[in-house]
Amino acid sequence: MGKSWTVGQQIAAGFLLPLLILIALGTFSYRSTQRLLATSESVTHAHEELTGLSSFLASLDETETGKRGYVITGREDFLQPYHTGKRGVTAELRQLEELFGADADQKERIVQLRPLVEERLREIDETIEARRIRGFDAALKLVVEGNGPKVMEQIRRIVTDMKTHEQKLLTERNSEAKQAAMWLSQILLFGTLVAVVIVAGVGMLVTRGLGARIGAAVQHIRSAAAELEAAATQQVKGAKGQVSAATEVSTTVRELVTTSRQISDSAQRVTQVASETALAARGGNQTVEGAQEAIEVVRRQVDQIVAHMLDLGRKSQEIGGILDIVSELSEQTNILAINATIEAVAAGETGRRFGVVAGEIRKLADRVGGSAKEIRRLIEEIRAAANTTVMATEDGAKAVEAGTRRFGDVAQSFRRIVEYVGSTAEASREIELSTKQQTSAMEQVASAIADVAQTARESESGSSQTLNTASQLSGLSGDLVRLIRREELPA
Amino acid sequence: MWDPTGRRTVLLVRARSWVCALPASSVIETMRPLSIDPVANAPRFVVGLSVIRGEVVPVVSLSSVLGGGAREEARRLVLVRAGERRMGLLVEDVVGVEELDLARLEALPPLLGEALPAEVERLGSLDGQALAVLDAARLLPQATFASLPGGDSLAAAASK
Repeated sequence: MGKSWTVGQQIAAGFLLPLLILIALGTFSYRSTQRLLATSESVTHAHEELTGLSSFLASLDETETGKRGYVITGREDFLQPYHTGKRGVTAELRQLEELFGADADQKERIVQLRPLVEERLREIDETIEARRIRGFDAALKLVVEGNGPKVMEQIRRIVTDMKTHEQKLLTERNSEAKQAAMWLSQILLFGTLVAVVIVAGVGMLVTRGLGARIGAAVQHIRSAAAELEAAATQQVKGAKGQVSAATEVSTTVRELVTTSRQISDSAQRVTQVASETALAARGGNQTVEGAQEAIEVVRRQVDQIVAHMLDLGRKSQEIGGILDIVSELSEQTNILAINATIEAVAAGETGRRFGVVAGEIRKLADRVGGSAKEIRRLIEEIRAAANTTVMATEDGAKAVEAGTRRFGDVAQSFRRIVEYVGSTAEASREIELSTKQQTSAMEQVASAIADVAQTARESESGSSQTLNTASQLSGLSGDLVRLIRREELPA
Repeated sequence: MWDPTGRRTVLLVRARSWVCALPASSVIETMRPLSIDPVANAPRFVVGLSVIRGEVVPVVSLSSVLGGGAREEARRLVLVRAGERRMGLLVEDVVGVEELDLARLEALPPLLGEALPAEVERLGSLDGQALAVLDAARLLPQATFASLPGGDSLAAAASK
């Protein structure tokens, strides 16, 4: 009996094996009984044949008796047995033929018997006819001369043979029947014993196997029930914790709802302030743009000043060029005057007055040179002053440009402020909207949390129920284990 | 031509811190400096050669003659006669033509006379400034003149 078989398979196998044995036993018994019945039937048949043979002989004797009585008496009423016997012989002979239809030997004997019987009956008929017509003597003569006794003897011998044959068959069939009955009784006895032993063994094995397996299963159930109990206890605790947590969450959510309403109000205020700020920033932007225009005018004027100053510098340079020519002329005049003086000296007394004139010319040239130098110095001063003015003006222009840039930055900043304030207003509006949505969501959460708390409470009671059930299951499994153990001990 | 006792007409020029007097009779012309070609193996004070009015003339720096190292800014060139030869003198400036009484000029003290260059003939003072009277002929010795290229032809022309 494999370990892998299921309980149902084990039980089915335990029942199937005895069933097979019973079927085999029943089949065998049925067949033996059939054979026994057949044997007893053939015995009856043999008895019928024997009886038939006896009555056949008796009928034949009766015809003889009737003949003899008629021959002796000549009276018709003595022929009564003869008629009865004749009818009986014919009927018996036909019956015997039917009875021995299956036996070749007996059939052959019947075939041998029939002409003898006809011979015998014909002789009897002749004798009776002779007595009736020709009288007693003729009949007697026929009886004495006739071969009736010989024929009769042959018939008797054949019938005796047949009887012997039948007796032998009967004896054989009797012993067969006895043997078959003995076999049947023995097989029934031993088969039943074997079946009982096998059924007992199978039952034991199945009981043991099932006991072990059910015991193990019950142990499993027991431990599972214990675990279930523990889990249910845990669940009860958890559900209690859940209820309290849900209550706390509910309180917190209510606070959150209040807070988010406040946030919504604040966001509304922020939106208003942002709009006002945007207005103020736009005003500032316009002011700055006006200032920028004024600065632009100043810058243009400064550019004009710089241009004029540069023009002044160029003009001074031109004056310098003219002065260079004047200086050159005075120097040349100076050299010429000296050379003239030297010539005058070389001319001696006649050149004296020319020398004086030349000296005067030289002094004039020197004065012109000095004046030119003075003018150059003044022009240099003017140029320096113009340069300084140009530089100062350029510094001013740069400062103005820087101021313009700064004002541009300020204007840019104002524009950005307007943008940022716009986005701030947008954001605060969104915050307001979102907060409102949040508030409604929070309220939904609060109701959901209340539902959760309700569910947790129900879950707590359900867990308690589960705990009870688990305890009961544990007890039941204990009972089952005890039951199995008690069953196993006597086995 | 040279009268050591009488009044003399001189050309006053400035070189370094000196005011130098050149006899007007030896001065031909004053002009601006022309382009000067340097000469190899020449004495320290000979700057080079210039072509003045179609004639090759040696040019001498007066400040170098008076012991100056670096060349000062020379704004005038004075063409002078040195005997039969002509030569250019680079000076800082031409002051003017003066008539001087050479007797009023003091002779050189003995110590100073040895210390001064040989070209200075006489040392005096004019308006509180040191005045050196120069002899043009002494400025450039004959031998030096002859060694200069182009100077040979001059020297040869002079000797004829």
